[in-house]
Amino acid sequence: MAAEHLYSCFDFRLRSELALELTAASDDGEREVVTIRRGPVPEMLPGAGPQERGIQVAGDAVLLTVEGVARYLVTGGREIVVDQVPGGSDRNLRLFMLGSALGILSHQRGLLPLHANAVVARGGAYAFAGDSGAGKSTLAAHFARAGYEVLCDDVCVVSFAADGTPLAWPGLPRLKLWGDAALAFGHDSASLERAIEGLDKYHVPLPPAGDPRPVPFRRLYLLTRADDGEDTAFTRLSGHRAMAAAMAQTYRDIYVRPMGLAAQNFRQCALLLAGAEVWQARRAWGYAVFEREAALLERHILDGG
Amino acid sequence: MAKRLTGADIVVRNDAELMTTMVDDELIGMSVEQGSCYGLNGVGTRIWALLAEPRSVDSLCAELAEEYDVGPAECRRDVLAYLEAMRSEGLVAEPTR
Repeated sequence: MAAEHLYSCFDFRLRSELALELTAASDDGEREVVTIRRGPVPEMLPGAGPQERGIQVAGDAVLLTVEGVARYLVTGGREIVVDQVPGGSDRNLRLFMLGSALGILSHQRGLLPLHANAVVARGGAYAFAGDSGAGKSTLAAHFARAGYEVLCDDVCVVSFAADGTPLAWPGLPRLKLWGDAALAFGHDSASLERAIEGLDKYHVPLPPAGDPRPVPFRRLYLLTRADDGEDTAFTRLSGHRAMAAAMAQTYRDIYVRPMGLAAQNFRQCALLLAGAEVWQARRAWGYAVFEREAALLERHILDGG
Repeated sequence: MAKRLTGADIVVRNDAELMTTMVDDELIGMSVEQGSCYGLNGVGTRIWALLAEPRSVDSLCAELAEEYDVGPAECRRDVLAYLEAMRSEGLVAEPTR
C-alpha cells in the first residue's frame, strides 16, 4: 500500500497516493474526499464515442490521454486513476493531474472552474484572466507582496450558494512564474521547483490559505493589451459580451460539450454574472511599466470601480 | 428549404432548441444543438417574449408596430426578415398542426 496524503482542494479534499503541490488538510470529516490513485487505465474507454479533444466520455467517466505522459480516468467527480506511460516524467504527470484532470473533475462536480487566478480584497475575490503572457501570475505575485491573500493560481473554482451567490474557493498554493519574473520578486530559480520539464517556468510557493472556506466572487478582470501610447482603460462588460467572456474563460472549456455539460455551463455563467461583474482591463505590458499598471488595477479594485 | 414566411403564418419560439437567460436586461440564448450563443437586442428580446405562444406573423407585427412607433410596412418587412433569420437558426418554428 502506497503512502497517502490528504490535501485541501477547492470544495473537497483529496486523498492521494501521489505527493502533490497542495495544501495539507486536516481529517476534519467535513468536506467530501476525492481519491487519487495509480492503477491500470485502458487506452479505449468501453462504451465511449470517438476521442474528442483528447478525451473519451462514457456516462460519468472521462478518460484523458496525454501522449508520452499518462492516461487519467476521472469518474463521477469522486476519483482519478492515473496510469503513467513507462518512462514518463513525474513532473509532467503532476502538471496534468493538477490541470486538466482536476478541471474535468471540477466540471463533473458541478463547479465552474475559471481560467484565472484570484486575490482577496475587501472581503471578496477578484479574478484575473487573459491570454498567456498577459501577466496574470506576475500580477498575483505583486498582490502577494503587497500583503493580499492570493486565493488561487491558474484555476479559480466557483460554486454557488443556495441563494445563487458565486463563491470562489482557495486553489493551488503556488504561482507559476517565468524565471525572470521569479527573480524580480526576489526568488532564486535554482531553489524553486520547475513547473514543466524543459521550460524556464517555476512554482513559487504561496503561504497556505489559513481558511479553507470560500469568499464571495466579486469581479472578473480580462487582461488585454493596450496599443502603444494608449492609456490604461477599464470597461465594464455587460449582456452578451459579459456572457461570452465568462464562457470563454471557463477552464478547459473545450471539454464542456464532449462531456455533455453545455447547458450546465451556460446556467453557471448566467449565475456568475447575476452576482459578479466582468471588466476588461486594457493595459500596457512589460516589466518597465509593470509597477505602475499593477497599482492602477489595485486602485480600481479598492475604489470599487 | 421551407417556403418564405407570410403574414398569415403561425410561428412560435423553439424553447427546446434555445436555452435563454437574462443578463443585464439582455436576453442571451444558447443553441443546445450547435453550442452557438446569441445576444438578442431589445426588439429581439420582445419578439422572443411574444412568441412564447403560437401567433400569426400579422398579429406579431401589429403588436410591435404599436409598441415601437414604426410604420406597418417597415415593421412587417423587418419582422419577416428577423423571423426568417431566426427560423434558419432553428430558433423559431411553425407549430405542427
